[in-house]
Amino acid sequence: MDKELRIIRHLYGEDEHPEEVSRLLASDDALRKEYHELRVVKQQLDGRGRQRPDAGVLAHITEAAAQASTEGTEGTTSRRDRPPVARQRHRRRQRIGIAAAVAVVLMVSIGLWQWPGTESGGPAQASKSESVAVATDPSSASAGESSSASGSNLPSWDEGDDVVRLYRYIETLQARSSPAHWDSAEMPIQSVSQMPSNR
Amino acid sequence: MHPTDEELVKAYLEEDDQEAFRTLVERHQEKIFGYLMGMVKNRAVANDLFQETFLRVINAMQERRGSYTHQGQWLSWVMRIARNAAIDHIRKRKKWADVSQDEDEEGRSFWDTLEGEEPAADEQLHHAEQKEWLDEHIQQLSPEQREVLLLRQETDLTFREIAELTDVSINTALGRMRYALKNLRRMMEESGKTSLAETGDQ
Repeated sequence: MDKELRIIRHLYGEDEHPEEVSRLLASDDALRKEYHELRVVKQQLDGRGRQRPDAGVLAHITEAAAQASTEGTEGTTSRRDRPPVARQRHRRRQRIGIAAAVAVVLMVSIGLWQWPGTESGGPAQASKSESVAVATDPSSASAGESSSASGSNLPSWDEGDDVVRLYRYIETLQARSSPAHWDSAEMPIQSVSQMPSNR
Repeated sequence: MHPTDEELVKAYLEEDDQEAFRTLVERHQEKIFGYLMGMVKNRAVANDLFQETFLRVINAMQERRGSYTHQGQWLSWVMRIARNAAIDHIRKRKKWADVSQDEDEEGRSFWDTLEGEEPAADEQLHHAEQKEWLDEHIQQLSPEQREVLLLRQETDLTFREIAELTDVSINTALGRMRYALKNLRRMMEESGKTSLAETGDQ
């Protein structure tokens, strides 16, 4: 430690080896001069006297201490515990988990509803209906592009006789015609009369 | 036989001894209030900060998981709370922040460049005026120097405890104290207060 700092500790009675400081002061004039100057200032500071807070402040503090002590022991032998912080956190986590689970279920449900080929209906069912309608329209040149559902590929809900005959008719047409396009030749009129009637 | 601080704390917490707590406060009130008064230089504010400090002390002591660890350093722990309260107040007044706290090689910072409000050169100082003069010039010290000086002079904390409280090394704390005393000495000489300066030489 620098000797200049050491004299500060010595000035305030914190030096562990005051005899060493005495020797330093005796041998160093500049250090001794500084030490005496600082000691003068310290003596003036020591003479400032102490200040106290207002009496009312002290009374309020002791009253608060008594009240806090009373609240801590009222009705119980031990002090009142803090609010159960851990439990509140657990409940909060529970709520977050439940909300996340509900969101996942909703997303899965919507996905299943949207996915074609599911039994839940919705847009997938509508799109399939459209494809069937396109396939049964003899004026449609895109019959070949319609769903090439054979009897073995029929969805389970498409089991009515009329529908089965319809699909078989579609297959027949597909077999007879070349790859159909919108701009291809019209279907022969005779094919219309061969369509199964919807009785 | 005077009970120790720790014995008084125990009596208050375990036996609801209100007098023990009052004794604790009265034993250290001058130290703590003197520090606060020196920091804020306003008696009303110092009273408020003193009360706020001890309300926090009471709450912390009553909580089972409070910050007081019963290691026999009750005053140091209270001073930490008081210091935080004082700093919060000073920062709100924006007299602490936005100023470079860097010190040069001689321990001077920006605050040392501020012009002081010195009393008239020919003013004769009596004892009360000497105190007033010192109080005014302590305010002209840099915040770091003023704080160390007030902590050492008012609270009797050791320099090691002050260093821990202010989160600096003990050498830094001693250096700030040294320059605080040197600057006060320089102010005495510059304002012509040679009688004030020479009193201690007798």
